[in-house]
Amino acid sequence: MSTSLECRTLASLDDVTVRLRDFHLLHNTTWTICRGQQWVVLGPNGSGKSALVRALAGDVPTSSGRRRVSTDTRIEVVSFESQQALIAGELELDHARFYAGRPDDGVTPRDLFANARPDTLSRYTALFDFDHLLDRPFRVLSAGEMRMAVIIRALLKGPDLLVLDEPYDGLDAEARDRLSRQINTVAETGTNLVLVTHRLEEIPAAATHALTIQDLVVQRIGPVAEVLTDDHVAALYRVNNRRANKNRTHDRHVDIGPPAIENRDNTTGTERSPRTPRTPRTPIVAFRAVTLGGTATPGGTETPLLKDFSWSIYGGEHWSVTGPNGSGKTTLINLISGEDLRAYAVDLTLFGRRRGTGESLWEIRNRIGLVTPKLQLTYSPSTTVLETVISGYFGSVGLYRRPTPEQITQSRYALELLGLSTLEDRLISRVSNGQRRLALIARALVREPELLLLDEPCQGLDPSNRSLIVESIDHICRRGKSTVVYITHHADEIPESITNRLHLPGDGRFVTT
Amino acid sequence: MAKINFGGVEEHVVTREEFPLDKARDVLKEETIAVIGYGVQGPAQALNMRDNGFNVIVGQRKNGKSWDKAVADGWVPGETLFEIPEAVQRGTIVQYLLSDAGQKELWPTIKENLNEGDGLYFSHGFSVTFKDQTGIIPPKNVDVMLVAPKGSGASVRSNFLDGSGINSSYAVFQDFTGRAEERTIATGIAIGSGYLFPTTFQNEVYSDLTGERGILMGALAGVMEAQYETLRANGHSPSEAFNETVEELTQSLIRLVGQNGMDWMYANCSTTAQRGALDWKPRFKEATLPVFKELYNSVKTGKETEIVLRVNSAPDYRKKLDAELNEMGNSEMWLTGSEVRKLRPENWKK
Repeated sequence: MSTSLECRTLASLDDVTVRLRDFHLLHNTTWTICRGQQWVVLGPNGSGKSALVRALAGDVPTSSGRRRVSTDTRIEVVSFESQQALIAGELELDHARFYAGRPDDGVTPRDLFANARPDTLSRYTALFDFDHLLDRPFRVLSAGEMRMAVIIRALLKGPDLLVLDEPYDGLDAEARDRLSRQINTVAETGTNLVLVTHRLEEIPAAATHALTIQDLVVQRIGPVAEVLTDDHVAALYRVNNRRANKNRTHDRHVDIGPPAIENRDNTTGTERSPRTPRTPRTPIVAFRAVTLGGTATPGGTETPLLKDFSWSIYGGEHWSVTGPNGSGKTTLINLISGEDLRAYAVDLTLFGRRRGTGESLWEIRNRIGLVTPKLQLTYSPSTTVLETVISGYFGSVGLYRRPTPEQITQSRYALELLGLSTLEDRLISRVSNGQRRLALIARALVREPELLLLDEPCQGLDPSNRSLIVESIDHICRRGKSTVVYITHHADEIPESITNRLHLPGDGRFVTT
Repeated sequence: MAKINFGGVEEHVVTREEFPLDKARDVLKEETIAVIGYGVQGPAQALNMRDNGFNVIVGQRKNGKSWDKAVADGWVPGETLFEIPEAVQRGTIVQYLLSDAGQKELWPTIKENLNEGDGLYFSHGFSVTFKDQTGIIPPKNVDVMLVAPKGSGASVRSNFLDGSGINSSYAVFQDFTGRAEERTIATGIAIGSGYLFPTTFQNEVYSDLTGERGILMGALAGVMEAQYETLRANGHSPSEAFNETVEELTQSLIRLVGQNGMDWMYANCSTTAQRGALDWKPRFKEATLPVFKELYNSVKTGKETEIVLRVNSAPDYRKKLDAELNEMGNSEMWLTGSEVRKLRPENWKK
């Protein structure tokens, strides 16, 4: 390395092997971070990026070698796990609150920032345009808003080394832009950064060094220009590309679950009504003149999130939904899926039946496939990857019913197509963030639901998995069995066949094209 | 009903396989279920029933925090959300889910708005079992029923949303319509129960009051204090005394007991622990059995209820209670506990 002489070590891993429960990985890894360096870490889903940076931060143990970090070095980590821990803590507190008869209290970002100096806090909340969210309970924040809270918390602590593990996930273009400017500012003022990302365009201008990793082995370490050559980056994701190509050979397109459809119609059939071609005049989803506040908190009286909102989705249409963080995209999905209880109070018709007229949540869940960042954050029961996929047949979180052999076969097939076969017996809580996302996508697709609600499905996926998913969804759109609603902050990730567009600018208005 | 053999004693249990949701919907298809009280138990049961497709309305005092919460949860004033008297009038099954004290206070309003043939539903047997003391004497022309979920309001709701469920006990106190049992079981399924165990109002409340005064809280805290004091008197440090009394129990042993049973614990612990535990178990049983007998008798004769109602109505009770709770909270053992909890590995970085 070129920095050997002048390196003042901030943190280093010296010939370490990392231990994640019973797995030993990243054997004989040596990585030195010198003061003044800004690092970026790249690698495919499940390659060990998060484990590596967690080992650096001292969050997971090493089974050999040494980790050297001076005791006065403050390291802060922003990651999927830190966000998940926040939610898990909230759920635990919920039990205590219910027991004590105070179910309404909830931790807010302001509580989280309680130790910060007021002037520092207001500087950061202004930077991230976060002031209006300070007193909102976490339970009603969107995943992107929660992510911003975790980032602000980390920055407030003034760390010497800031580890950002996919910090851009769930942020809209403007928030990404803000964060990336902030990252460069933080780097200039002497904080060292380690940024884990799946998107080359997110590599900050300030990055000086890069580390690449594949199949739980560090590949290259060094200055950005030397490491991130076009050839090396292409090779980094080649394993996945091969897998995707192999799938394409036996059916040119990825095809999730076709035999399931043929077989299900003549088995028991959990469906209430047989699937018949719909006349285009009966919408699958119809919102009529809906006006809603931004939060479901008691007494919320701010400017409405949705103003006189009307939207119909007809069978065979495919919609993308775009708009900034907090503009109501996820609220729409939650109203359709029934997670937002105000579905009962607004004029919403699903599958030809007005909500709140005696339908059950299960009849709706049976016809919907769902992937959301929140599901990803909360789906961590002691369920295996295969069981997670099977649970899609029952719309459950965890598996509580005995699946048919056919359902198991179809679920295995879905896993195979997404390259997860080797992980089928692994607990869903013990696979990587990206692998969990793929498993949840398989869970949503496995029964080819009438309505597929995908909220940022590509979040946390590496480039080759992103194209695999985008292609799969495109294919599902063209097969015509499912109607797709697709939320994204990345316009370039909208499958070609999705031609209808709903845009929420964030002021209560809406634009359909 | 499915028969299940519990260690040699056969009991009948209702399962959601034999009484599926569709059947429950059929039984209750003409009914309007009015949930009275949107506090702790009310929301979970009301939301589950609504999500299961039942016709549910909520009765709640207007212009309070609970009313606002109900609106935020999608209950529409004038359509599915009413003042309590109107909700009771509109309901054919009236779920009375206020606290024991709240039930006693509001009973006259409920009573005068009940209609003949209504189902009066409770999730706790207290008010009706001790009706002579609480004054909650149901009219003769209604069904009186009970479903008591075995879990907090939070888990009643979160288990439902996960697609699992919760187990409950159920009972019929008075069958006016001849359909009381069917209505009770159907309502039990409607709120999200997986298994329903038959009981009586009396047994539900006797076991509940005995349990919380006994092992669940009273006896547990009592024997913990006794052991802690003994260790301290013999020169052990507070942290050591607390770790050996509370921390090991809550952080590891009780979870294993939950998974495998106490018999398994005994069979799988070290020889030293095993011998001692086997020898000392009968001694503790012998020492406490008379206390439990006395406790049960005090519950059964209504003495416990009388105490609760009397102190609750005393004007200075709140103050006295605070003093008692402060004494416990400021005791060395529980102050030590607060520090020990901070030192748990998962809290190291906080």
